[in-house]
Amino acid sequence: MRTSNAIYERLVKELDRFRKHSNFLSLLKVLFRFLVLSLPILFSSLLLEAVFNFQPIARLCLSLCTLFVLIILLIRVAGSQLYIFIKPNTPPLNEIALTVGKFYKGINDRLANTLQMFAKHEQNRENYSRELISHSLVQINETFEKTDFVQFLDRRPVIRWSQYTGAVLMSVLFLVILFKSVFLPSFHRLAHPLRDYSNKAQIQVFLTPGDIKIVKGNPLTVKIWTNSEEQQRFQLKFMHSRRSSVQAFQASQQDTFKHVIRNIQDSLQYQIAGYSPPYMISVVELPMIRQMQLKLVPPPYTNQDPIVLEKNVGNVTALKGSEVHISGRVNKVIKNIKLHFNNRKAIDIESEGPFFRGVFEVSRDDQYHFLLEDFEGYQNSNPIVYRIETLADRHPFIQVLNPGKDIELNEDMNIPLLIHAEDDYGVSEIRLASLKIGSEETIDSTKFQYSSLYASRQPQESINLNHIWSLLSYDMLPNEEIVYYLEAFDNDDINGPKSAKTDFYRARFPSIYEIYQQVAFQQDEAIQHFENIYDKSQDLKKEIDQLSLQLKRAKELEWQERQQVNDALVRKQQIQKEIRELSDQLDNMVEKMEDNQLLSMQTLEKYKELQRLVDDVMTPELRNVMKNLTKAIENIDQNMINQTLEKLSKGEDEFQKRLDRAIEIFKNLKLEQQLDQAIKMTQGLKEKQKSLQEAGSKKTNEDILKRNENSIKEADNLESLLREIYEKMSETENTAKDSVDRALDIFEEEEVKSKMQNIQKQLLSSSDPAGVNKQSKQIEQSLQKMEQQLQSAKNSMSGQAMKKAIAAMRKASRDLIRLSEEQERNLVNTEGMMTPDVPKLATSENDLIQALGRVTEELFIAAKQNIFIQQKAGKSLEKAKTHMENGRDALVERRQSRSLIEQKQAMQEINKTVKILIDNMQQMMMQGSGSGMSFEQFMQQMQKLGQMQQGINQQTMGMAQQLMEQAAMSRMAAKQGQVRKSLQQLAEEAKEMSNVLGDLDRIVEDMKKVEDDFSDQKVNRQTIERQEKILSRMLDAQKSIREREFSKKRKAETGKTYQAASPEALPSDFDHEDQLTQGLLRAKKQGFSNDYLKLIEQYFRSLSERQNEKK
Amino acid sequence: MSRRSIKTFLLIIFSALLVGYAMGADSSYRLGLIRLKYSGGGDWYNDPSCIPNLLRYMETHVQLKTAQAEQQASLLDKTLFSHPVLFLTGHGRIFFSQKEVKRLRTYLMNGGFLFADDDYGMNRYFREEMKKVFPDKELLEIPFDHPVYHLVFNFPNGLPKIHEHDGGPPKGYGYFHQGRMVVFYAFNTNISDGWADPAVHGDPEEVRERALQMGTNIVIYALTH
Repeated sequence: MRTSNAIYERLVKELDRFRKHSNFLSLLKVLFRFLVLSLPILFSSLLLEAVFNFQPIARLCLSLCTLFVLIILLIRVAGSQLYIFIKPNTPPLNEIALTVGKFYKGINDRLANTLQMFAKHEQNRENYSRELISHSLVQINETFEKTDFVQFLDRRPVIRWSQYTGAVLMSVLFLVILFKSVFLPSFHRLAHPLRDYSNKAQIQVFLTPGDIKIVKGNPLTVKIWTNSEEQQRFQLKFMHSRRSSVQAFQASQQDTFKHVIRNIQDSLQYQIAGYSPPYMISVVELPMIRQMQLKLVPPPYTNQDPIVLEKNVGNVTALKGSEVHISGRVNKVIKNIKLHFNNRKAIDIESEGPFFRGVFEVSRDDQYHFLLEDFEGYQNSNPIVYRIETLADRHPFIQVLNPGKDIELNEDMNIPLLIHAEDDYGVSEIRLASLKIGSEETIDSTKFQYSSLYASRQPQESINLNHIWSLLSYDMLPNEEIVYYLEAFDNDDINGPKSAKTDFYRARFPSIYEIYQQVAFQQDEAIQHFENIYDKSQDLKKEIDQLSLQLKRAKELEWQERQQVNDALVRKQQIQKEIRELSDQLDNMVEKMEDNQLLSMQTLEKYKELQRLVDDVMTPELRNVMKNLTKAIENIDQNMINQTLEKLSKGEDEFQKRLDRAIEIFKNLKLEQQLDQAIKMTQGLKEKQKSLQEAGSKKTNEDILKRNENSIKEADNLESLLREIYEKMSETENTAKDSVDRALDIFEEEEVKSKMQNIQKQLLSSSDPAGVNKQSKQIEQSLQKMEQQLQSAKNSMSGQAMKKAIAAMRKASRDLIRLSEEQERNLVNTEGMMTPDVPKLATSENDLIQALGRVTEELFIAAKQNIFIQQKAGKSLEKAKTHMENGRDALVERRQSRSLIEQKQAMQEINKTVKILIDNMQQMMMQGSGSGMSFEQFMQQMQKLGQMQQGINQQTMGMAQQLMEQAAMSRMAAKQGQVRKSLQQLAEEAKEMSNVLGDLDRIVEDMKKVEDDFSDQKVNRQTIERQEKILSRMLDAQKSIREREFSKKRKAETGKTYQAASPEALPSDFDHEDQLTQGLLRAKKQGFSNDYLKLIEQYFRSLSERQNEKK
Repeated sequence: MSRRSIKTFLLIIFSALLVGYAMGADSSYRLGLIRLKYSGGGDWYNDPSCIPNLLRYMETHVQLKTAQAEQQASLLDKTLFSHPVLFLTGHGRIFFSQKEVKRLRTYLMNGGFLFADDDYGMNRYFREEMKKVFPDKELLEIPFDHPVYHLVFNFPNGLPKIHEHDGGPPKGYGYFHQGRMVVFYAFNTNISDGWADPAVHGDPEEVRERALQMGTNIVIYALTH
């Protein structure tokens, strides 16, 4: 029984739960139904009130009616369900049990019956079996044991009603929200029906835009429409976060009010005071660039440092290939940032928070701007468009500064190139292109050979390159040319290296005879010019003498006479100018001969002396006279003009004498130079024969033929030259002519030229190589003999000239000593003279003057033949003559003491002249004999060694192409050793001269290394370079000595004492710019802005000015 | 002993101490006058005996420990900045590349000193090249009261005339940086010829002595300013 009770209680409990759920669903359904019905009613009331805006009473009625209807509706809809609240156990359990039973097949009312019976089984009025009741309960229990009665509840009506309610509610709410400005006040009024809305209630106000989002800074137009004709003024109230403001405004058109709120920066609320609820203006900030900075990184090849642009500068001007690193900050966190270009695809830029960073490469002229987008989808507006300008990497520039024109090659076959190349970002390579062509050959640009003169991995922007270009390896024949140009490449690895070329230049190798002819022509022209000047000078002198006589007779200086004097002066000035030009011409001529080594050192020295003679033709006294004459003409001073003209006439005599001497010496020198030339040509031919013998196996037949043909022409030229020299020598009865004659005899008798022609024939037929060699050796020997004869002629010529000069000077010295003794006697006689002695003494003095004139004349004639008779002897004699004349005149005038002084001075000058002549003779004798090694010998030795070294170098170059045999290597080592020893010996013999070489020891060291390379059979590029260096140093050394020895100006004498005033004190501002610059630099480093830098500069300037003022 | 002599003596002692200290008090350090190698062909190697002679003279007369042999350096040598004084001479063309120009400027503006001595013929080239080094400065003639003429030995009339290459008095010029003379250029005298062995130029002893004294003044100036 106990079990039945438990079952009963469980079933009752389940049924009770079912009832509660069932009641809840009923209530929900009622509520939804109420809402579905009441919401339209309520909305209708609001609508009525909104439309009609009732008076309070009417509005109260409407409110009450609405309320009443709603209550009725509530009662009506929910009345049947109200029992749930009054009697919670309604419906009774039996009904519930019947309801549940209906849901279960075969149960129907059995559940209700069983429960009913069990509830009454205690009374058991019908006396059912208790077990039967229990059994019935158990059976029912078994049926419902696992059944939840709640599942039998029908929820569909509730769901349906809830859907209706949702639809109605949404519709009403939509309308209310849409017209909230209408319905909210309407609701407000209905809620407070008795309030007086009489004034405002009639006015209907509509406002746009209500709540809105707006971009920061943009304006917002608020518009109001109203139905009131009276209400023409509203107040728009703004409520910011911390303050409020009111803006009154009036209608602009009928019923329309408009107000523009400008530049909205922050969010705010606004409303029409008294007519509308507050609305929100939410300010949205568009994304924008707050700050940015660009760094330009030039392409690596430029070696330029990156440039950081000033902040917020976006325009880019950069070299093509530069990277632009862009970084910065935006005003807010953004979704993405892009760089948009006009002429290329946009690129994304990396961003993190408000920061961004990106890179792009400058490839062409373009424009770009930023595209920003934030997370709300807003984009930046009106972005700034920046410019990209590409800078061009210019082509390099190359220029040959020296020689920079077509040239003729000198004997050394070197072209000292001075090359200037530049490029905006660096020159990476300079190369030399060269082509050897014949005299009339055209240039084939495909045949140029190239050699790199400069190549660097760290290119420089500007290069001045010195390069001694030796053309020896080209093995040029006379009249051949080297056409060359230089090409520079820049280091542009973005667009590829660009290049620039110089013009074509030509270096022609003239034959020595050709140079000689040129020089000879110039010399003849110069001599002719000198002679013309001499003639002009003679004419001028005649005119001056005539004019002088005329002026002495004239009482007053007429305009015409003045003009004549002026003309004479102008002509003299013209002569002076011509002499100057001739002197320059002579300089150039000597330089050319020197460069081509046409002259022996001795002849060169004489030419230098001749240059000095020409420079001295215009004496300082004559120049002074010309200046004084100019002044006298300007001042129209007749006396002064007369005096100066007399002096000018005398000066012109001296000028003519000097010019005459210079002309004579020039002519003589020309002969000496021709002899030098002949010697040189003979040596050249001899060398060519040697190379012909050596070249047999190395050179092509064509090449040898060409060379031999050239030798034949040279031999022709040599013969002509020798004949010319012989003829000239015969004219002057020069003793050296015999030697020249012998040289010519050798040339003819030993058939030098015919043998050369034979060689040519044999070479053409290629028949007898041994015969060629034999004949060539014979020619070489003949030429050797000729050279000796010519050398002897040269020595004889020099010796003869020197002998003559010494003899003349000796005679002049003796005569002058005798004159000096005579003068001394006259001096003694003058001291103790009596009046009757005067005529005798005067006659004696006059005889002395004439004797002195003869000596002077003889000496002058000798000086015309020999350059080394010093001009100052003549000057001194002139002075002596003047003193003697003055002494004689003083005697005649009975001025004894004056005469004594003059005679004494005359004697002193004579003695001085003797001293000059003796010194001069000694000097000449020393030069002639000379102890130890002479300079000329030293130079010849150096030259010889240089040639030997050159031969070794050429052989090494030639052999480096092939494998050298051990024997050949040893031979080369021996040759190099021989040159080294000779050089060492030379240095030892000419110790003083070797000092000036500076690094002669180093040449010897290098030679030793080359020698070792040969011995070790390790000939490589380094050996060849070392050999080139040796040769270059040897040539430099020769040039250096030559320049030193013959520099006109450089005097290697111990310094004299000079008294000089101290320079002015250092200027007070000598370091001023430095301070300023340093100050500014410091300020710049500290990062001051430009404005501050200007201030700082002003500060420094004013500071230094103040310091100066104090000083 | 005059007051001037005492001052001079003290100055030399102080200079010697200062130089010793500046060289890191390295007792093995010996002062060298570095011959500057340059390109252009102006014979930078001229007169090899001159530097050793001057250094020997300085060791004897101002008690400085000096190197015995000549040292050479080019402007691009790594060791350039370890040498306090450079010596440049020649009689022809001088050429400094852009790199060399920059290096020399840096060297001189940071404590280095250059003594240039015209051995006739380098004047034009030296001035041209130095204009590249100091385009913003001028080569100023040094007045006779400048310390370089009085620091150790007294030269009341400025530079002594050692060689008679050209007539006329010798002239001393200088470049200044922040008040300090950084380049001293001797023109028309050839001081360094006077340092060479007597047999080289045959100068009388008193002339050589003056040249060595002036050389000493220049080096001591360079070390103490």
